[in-house]
Amino acid sequence: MGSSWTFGQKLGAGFVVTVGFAVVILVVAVYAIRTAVNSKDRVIDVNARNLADAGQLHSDIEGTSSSTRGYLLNKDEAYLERLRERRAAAKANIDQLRANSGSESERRAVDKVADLLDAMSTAQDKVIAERRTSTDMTAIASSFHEYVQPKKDAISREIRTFVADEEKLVTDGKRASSDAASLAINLMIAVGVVATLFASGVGFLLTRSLGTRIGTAVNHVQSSSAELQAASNQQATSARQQASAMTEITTTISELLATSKQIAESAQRVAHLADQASGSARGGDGAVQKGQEAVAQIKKQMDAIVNHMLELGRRSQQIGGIAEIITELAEQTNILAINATIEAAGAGEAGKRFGVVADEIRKLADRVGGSAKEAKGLIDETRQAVNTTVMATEGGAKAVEAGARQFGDVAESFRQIADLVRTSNEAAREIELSTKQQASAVQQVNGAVAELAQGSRETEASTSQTLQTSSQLATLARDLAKFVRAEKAV
Amino acid sequence: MTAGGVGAAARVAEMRREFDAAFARPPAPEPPPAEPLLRVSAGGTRFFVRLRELACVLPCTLVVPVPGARRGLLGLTAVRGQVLPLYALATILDLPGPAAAPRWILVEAGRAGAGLGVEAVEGVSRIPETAVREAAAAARRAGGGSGMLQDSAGPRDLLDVAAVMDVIRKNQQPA
Repeated sequence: MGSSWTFGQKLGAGFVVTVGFAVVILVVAVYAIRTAVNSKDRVIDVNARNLADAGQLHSDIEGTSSSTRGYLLNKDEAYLERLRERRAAAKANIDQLRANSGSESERRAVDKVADLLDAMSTAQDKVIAERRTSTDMTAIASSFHEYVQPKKDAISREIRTFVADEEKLVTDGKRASSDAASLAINLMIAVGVVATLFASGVGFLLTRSLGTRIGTAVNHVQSSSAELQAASNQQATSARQQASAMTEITTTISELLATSKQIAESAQRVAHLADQASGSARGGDGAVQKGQEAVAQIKKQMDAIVNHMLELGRRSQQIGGIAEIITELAEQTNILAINATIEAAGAGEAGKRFGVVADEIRKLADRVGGSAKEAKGLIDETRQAVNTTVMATEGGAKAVEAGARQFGDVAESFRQIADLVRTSNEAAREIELSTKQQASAVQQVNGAVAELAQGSRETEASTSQTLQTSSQLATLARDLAKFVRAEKAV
Repeated sequence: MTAGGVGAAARVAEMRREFDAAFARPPAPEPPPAEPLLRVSAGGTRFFVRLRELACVLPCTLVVPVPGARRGLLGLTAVRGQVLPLYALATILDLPGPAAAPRWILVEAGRAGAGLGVEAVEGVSRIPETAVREAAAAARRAGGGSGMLQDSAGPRDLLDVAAVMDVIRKNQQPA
């Protein structure tokens, strides 16, 4: 039997095999009974019938002999009629016996009786015919004893032989039936013994396997009980700690509830401040828009200043060109004065006064040239100042543009601030509402935690009960283990 | 009006006043004899040039280059209907400074055989004649410009134009 089979499978397999043996016993019993019944039926239906038919045939034979004698004595036709009836009955019995003959010897005996019957009938007909023509009773009696009586005696012997054979067959059939019944009884006893031995073996194996498995299971139950006991101890400790923690949580939640109320009040104040900030942001937005308009006006003025300065630069450039012309004229005048001085020196004493005039002209040209250079320098300085001013003005214009953009950014920032303040206001109101809901939820949580603490205490109590039950289970497991070991020892 | 504008107007008024006063002023006492000298610069070097050695000073407007010209010859130019060769003074004297294009032509007096190109004509100074003669003698001995003179603008060499022309003529002669 496989070690991997469960106990139920093993028990089922044992029952199946036992039922198989019972079926075998049943089949053998049925076979034996059927064999005995068949043997008995054959004895009753064939051999006993043959015996009865043989008796009836012997009676019919005797009847034919009696009818023949009656006709021979009385010469009455009624005997002949009775004779024919007896012969017909005898032939019918012979046919019945032939049909019921189960062996060749029986058929040969029947055939022999039939031949003897035919021969006796022929002899009877011969004597009857002699009776019809003769009245010599002595001769007729002599013919009867000579021809008919031997045939009848032969038939009677054959019938007795047949009856003896049939009686022997009846006896043999009874013996065969008894033998079959005895064989079936012996076979059933043998199968019953085998089934009993098998059932005993299966029971022994199942008992041993069950004991082993129950012992293993009891060991497991024992170890599990110990673990359950340890776990129950730990669970009891945890339950006590949990109850203590629940108490702390309850206290903390109470503090949280107070804090939530404070938060709600703070959120309300924040919402009020956000309203004030929103008004300030709207005022700032208006101020920034006015500042933006003023900056746009400044930008327009700066553009006008830049245009005027550029025009001034162009005019200064034109003045510089004029100054260069003056410088050129002064230089040419100077050269003319120098040449006049040279001519005056070449003229000797007559050109001396002309040389003085030329010298004065040259000095004047020198001074005009110097002044023109100074004017050119001043104009250059003016152009440079104009350029610097234009650049500064352009820088100012750019700064104004940047300021305008910054004013735009500030205005956008104020709008964003206003939006943010509005959003903050809404958020503060949502916080206030949420905090109130939170406070309500915290109160509910506080109640739930209180119930949970109560549940923890109940858990602690049930854990103690579990610990006690596990201890009892461990004791029961030890007792069961002792019992199983004692059973195995036995 | 700015400070610069006020200064310029005052300058103009002063110049007008001096110009007008020059006609009303009595003749100045006879100064010590002095000779007018032309202040020029060429090749980064400043020179005095005696006006008596020059025929005229002209702007250098049109110079026609001459193919295969000798060293220092800038080309030909026209002075009062006469064609003159124009020489660069800085190149002739081998002056070390940067040689810019000459703007003015100094025409030699007398023979008027050539013109000297200078970069700038700065003005005229009057130097006592004795100092000029001594410097001219020194320059003559040096064969060009080594006689040192000084005016209010500072010291500078006196250029002997005749000596320079001699150098040019000497260079023109075949070796």
